[in-house]
Amino acid sequence: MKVWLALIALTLVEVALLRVNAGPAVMLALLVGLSLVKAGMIAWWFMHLREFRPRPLVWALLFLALCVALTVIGFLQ
Amino acid sequence: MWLFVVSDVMTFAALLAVYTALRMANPEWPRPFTLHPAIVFSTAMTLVLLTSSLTMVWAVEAMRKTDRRAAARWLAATILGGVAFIALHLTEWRHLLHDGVSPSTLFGSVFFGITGLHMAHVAAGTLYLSALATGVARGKFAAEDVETGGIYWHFVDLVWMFVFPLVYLMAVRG
Repeated sequence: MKVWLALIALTLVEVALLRVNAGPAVMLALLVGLSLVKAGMIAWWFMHLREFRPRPLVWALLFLALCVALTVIGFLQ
Repeated sequence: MWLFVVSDVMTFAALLAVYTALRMANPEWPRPFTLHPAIVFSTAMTLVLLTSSLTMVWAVEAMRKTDRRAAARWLAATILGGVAFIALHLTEWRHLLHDGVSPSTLFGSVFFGITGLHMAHVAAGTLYLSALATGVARGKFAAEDVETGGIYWHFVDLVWMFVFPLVYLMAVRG
């Protein structure tokens, strides 16, 4: 329930960011950062990644997520 | 299921990366959404999907406690969330089409492509969970089967956590 409330709160923060007069690049960085936090919370608690065994597989999945994030950043440049 | 999730992560990551690259490279990128009603509407869709994830967590917990009636009830609530999400999404699409956002334009094709693929995942998920709920109510399926369904449903929710800010919030009219 706490995770769900935190996810709702972060969603409302994302919407509230529309009131901030920031450029597209800053807005993109903020929104992607918040999305990564929310996705991490869903994977860790809702998808039970924290209970995942063997642990190396968790690291492999996190490494894959990092690769995806780096690919996206590289793409944007 | 995890292998499917990993492969689908790559699909959505590629689509969202291309969309974001197009959005950032083009200063004249269309921004058809207004705070009211478009963002209020899509925020409501996000809250519905997040709530359906919570009911899915409760369904998995109920199955772990071998409470099949409660598990079937929470699965039904999750399905209801999925159906509500699709209904809201289709209504929003109808409004956009009415406002002149055409699928034949660059913006329209990527917007309807990404959100359409996501909606197809939600629709497939509701069918999958319906079969699961029926089986659980009839005494079939183990707790692990419901957990596997949960992984799929939470993944659909996880993808929307990127679609909502990148596709909607980044295209709000200034």
